[in-house]
Amino acid sequence: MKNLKATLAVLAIFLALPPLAFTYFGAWDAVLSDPQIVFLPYFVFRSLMRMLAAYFFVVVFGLVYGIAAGLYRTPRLFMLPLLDILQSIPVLGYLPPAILLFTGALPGEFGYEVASVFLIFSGMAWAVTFSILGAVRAIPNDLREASNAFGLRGWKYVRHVVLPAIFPAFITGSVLAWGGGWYFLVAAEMLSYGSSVHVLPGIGSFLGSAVFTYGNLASAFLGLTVFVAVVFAINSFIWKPLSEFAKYFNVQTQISKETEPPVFSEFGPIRHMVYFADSLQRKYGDSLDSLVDSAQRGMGRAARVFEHVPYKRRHRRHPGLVLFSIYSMFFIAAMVLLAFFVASAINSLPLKSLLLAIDAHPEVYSLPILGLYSALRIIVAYLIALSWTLVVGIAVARSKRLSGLVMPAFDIGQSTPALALFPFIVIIVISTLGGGQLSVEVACILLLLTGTQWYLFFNIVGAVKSIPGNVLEASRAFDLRGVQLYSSVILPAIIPGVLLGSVQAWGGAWNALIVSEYINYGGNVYSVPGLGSFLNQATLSANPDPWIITLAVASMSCIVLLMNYLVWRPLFNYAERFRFESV
Amino acid sequence: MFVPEIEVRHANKEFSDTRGRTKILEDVSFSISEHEFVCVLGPSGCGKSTLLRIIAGLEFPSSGKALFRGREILGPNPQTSAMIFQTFALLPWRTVYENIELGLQSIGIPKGKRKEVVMKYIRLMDLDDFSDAYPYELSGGMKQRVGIARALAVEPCVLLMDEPFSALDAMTADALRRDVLELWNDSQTVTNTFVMITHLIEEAVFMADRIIVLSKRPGRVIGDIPVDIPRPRHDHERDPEFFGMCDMIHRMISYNTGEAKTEK
Repeated sequence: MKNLKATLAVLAIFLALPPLAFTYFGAWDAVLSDPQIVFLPYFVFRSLMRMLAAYFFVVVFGLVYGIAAGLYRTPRLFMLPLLDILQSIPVLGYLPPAILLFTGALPGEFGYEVASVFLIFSGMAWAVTFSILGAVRAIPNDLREASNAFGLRGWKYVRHVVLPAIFPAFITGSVLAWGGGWYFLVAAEMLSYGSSVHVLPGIGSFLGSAVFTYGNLASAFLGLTVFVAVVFAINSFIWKPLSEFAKYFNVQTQISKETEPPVFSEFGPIRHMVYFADSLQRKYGDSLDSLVDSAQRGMGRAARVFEHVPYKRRHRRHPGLVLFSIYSMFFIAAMVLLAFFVASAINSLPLKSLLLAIDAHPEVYSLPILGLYSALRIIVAYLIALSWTLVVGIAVARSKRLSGLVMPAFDIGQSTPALALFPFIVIIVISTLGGGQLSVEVACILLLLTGTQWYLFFNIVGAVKSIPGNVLEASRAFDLRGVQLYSSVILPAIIPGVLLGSVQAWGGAWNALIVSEYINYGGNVYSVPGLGSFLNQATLSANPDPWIITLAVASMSCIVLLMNYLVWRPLFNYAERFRFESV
Repeated sequence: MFVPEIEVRHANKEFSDTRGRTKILEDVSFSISEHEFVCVLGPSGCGKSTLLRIIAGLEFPSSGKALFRGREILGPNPQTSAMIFQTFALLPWRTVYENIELGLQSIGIPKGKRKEVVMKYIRLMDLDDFSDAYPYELSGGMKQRVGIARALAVEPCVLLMDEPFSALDAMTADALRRDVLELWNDSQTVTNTFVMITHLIEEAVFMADRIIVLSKRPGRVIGDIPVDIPRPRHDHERDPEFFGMCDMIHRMISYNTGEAKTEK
C-alpha cells in the first residue's frame, strides 16, 4: 500500500496548487466569476462517460480486428494497410464526416454526442488494434504448437491462448489509447466545423472555452489542474495495477535464474475486480466453451471458419508492388469516402467538384511546400525531444532513487493534454520573445514537444530497464564504464525501444501539428504556415470546401505513410539485429 | 494383419520461400509398433523435428503419408499423440495444475473427472507441492515434468518428445531420462509407445529400442538400428557394446555412407 499513499500524496499536493496560486495572485474573483465552475464535477463525469463509451467500442473493434488480422494471413494482407491508413489520418480528418454524418442521422444533441464519441474513438482505436495484432503474431511458436497438439483450436484457442497472451499488449495499447483520447478531448467536446462550434458539456470543453472563448486564465488553470488530476488518478489507480498484473501473462522467452515474481499487491479495488473476473472465468468458462461448441455444431459448415488452426507457416514476403497497390487502393478509397461523406452532406456533386474546388482555391498548390515546413518543424521538435529524453530517460532508468523522485512528475507531465497547455505556453513565449513570427514558431515547437516527447521518454525508460541482467553483468565484468558503457552497451541495447518510441512520436507529432500550428487564444489567432494550420483554416472557414479538407488530410496522411514505409520500416528491420536473442 | 502404431510412407517435405524451394525430408519411410521406444537421430537441420510434427499432425508431408493404426493423420489429436517440447511450452498464465488440465479441457472432459486425472499425474510426476505454482517459479527440470504430466494426462497412445532434455543441465536431464524410461515401463500409464527426437547419440542408445538415423538435409533414413543392449541400461553404460554402438552410429552420420546396410 506504499504506492497508494505516495500517489494520494502527489494528488493532494497537486490539487492544492490552484488555491495557493489563486490566493497568491489574488485571482479568486476571476475564478468565481466563471458561472460554470460549480458544474465541474458534472463535467468530469460527462467526459468520463464519453471516454468510457469510446473505449468500449475500441475494445470491441480492437479485439475483433486485431485478432482476425493476426490469425489469418490472407485478410491480414488487406487489413494491415487499411489500419495503417486509418491511423495516418489526423483526428481533424475524421471531424467533418463525423459531425455531418451523425448529426444528420441522429436527432439533436444525441447526434453530437455520438460524433464526439466517434472522434475520441478515432484517437484511441489504432494503438489498441496495433498492439493486439502485434501480440497475436508474436505468440511464440512453441505455445502455438503445444496448444494445437493438445487440440485447442478455433474459439478454444482464442480463449485459452490468444486472449491471455495478448493481455499485456492490450493493457499497453489501452494506456496509449487513453492518452490519445485525453489529448483530443478538447477538440472532441468542442465540435467546430465551418463557423459554428457545438459545445458539449465536459471537462475538455470547460477548459477549451476558458481558454478560447473567455480567455479566463484563472479558470483555465483550475480546469487544467482538475483535468490532469483525473488523468493521473486513472493512470495510477487503474492502468498501473493492471499493467503490473499483466506481467503474469508475459510469455517468458528468457530463461534466467533470478526471475522477479510479478507483484500485484497494490490497490485493492482493481485487484478485487480482477480476481472477481478471474473467478467468474473459472466458474463459467467451461459452460461457455461447451455453449460455443454446441453453437458451432448447430451452425454446421458455416462454423468451419472458427475451426481455424494456426499452423506454422514460413514467412513469405510480399513483393513491394503488390503492397504498394493495396496501399494506394485503400488510400484513394478512404479519401474518396471522406470527401463523399462531407460533400453529400452539403449537397454538392462529389467528384466533379474536385476540379472546381482546386480552381477556386489556388492555395492547394502550396500544400507540398506547407508539408515541408511542417515536416521541418516536427524534425526540430523530434530532435529536441530525443536529446533530452535520451539523457534523462537513461539516468532515470538506471537510478532507483532518481526514478522514485521524478517519475511522478513525468507521469503528471504525460497526463497533461497539450491543448490545455496552450495559454500558458503562449503567454510565456510571447511575453519573453514578443509577439513576432519567431515566437509563434517557438510556441508551436513547444506544443509539438508535448505531443512527442512522452512516447520517447517512456519507451526509453522501458528499454533501459529491460536490458537483461546478464548483459549488464558481463559489461561490469569487462569493466566497461562511462562513455564506453553507454556507447557500446546501453545505447545499442535501447535502439529498438527508441525506434518504437520514434514511430509513436512521429504519429503523435502529425496529430499534434493540427493544434500546434494554429493557436487560438482568447480570440486571437497565432498561426504559422504549415499543413496543420492549412487544415484548420479549411475546416473553420465560413464555407468549408470538402475537397480542400480532403486534399489537406490526404497530403498529411500521405506524408505519414511515406515516412513509415521509407524511413521507419527499414530502420525497424535494421534494428532487429539489436534485439536480445530469446533462449 | 499386423498394423503398426505409427507408419510413415514415402514422406517428402518441401518448404518454399523467396529463395526457392528447400527440401527438408526425402522419401522417409518407417514404422513404429506398440510398446516400442524409438529415437529419431540426426544432425541439426535434418528435418527430424519436422518429421515429429508430421506424426503429431501439426504439419503435413508434401507427398507421402503418415498413418496412425492404418489411418491417415489429418490433424492434431491429443488422444492419438501428445507432445513434449524442448522449450516446455507451458502457458505462463496458468498454474502447474491448470497447465496439466489444458489438454483435458480441450477434449471436453467435465471438471470433476478432470481433477481426478490431473491429480493422478501430478502425483506420478512428483509435483504435489507445486500444483499451485506458476511456471516462472519452477526450475527447468520441474517445468519439463509439468510438460510430461500435461502430455500424459490426455492419455494418448503415443508420446512424442522433441529433444525434451536439451534445455536442461546434464544432471537434471539424466534424472529425467530415467524417469521417462520408468514411465514407459509403468503399467499404470496408458501411454506406452514413445517417440523421441534427439541429436545426442549416447542418449538415443541409452533410451531406445530402435534408432532411426537421418542424414543431413534433406533428411533421408540412412539407418534403422535395433538396440539390443539389455535394460536397465544404466547398468551397461560402461560396456564396450554400448560404446561400439555409439561409434558405429557416429561413423554412419559422419560419412553418410551405406555402412548401415553392412552392419545390419
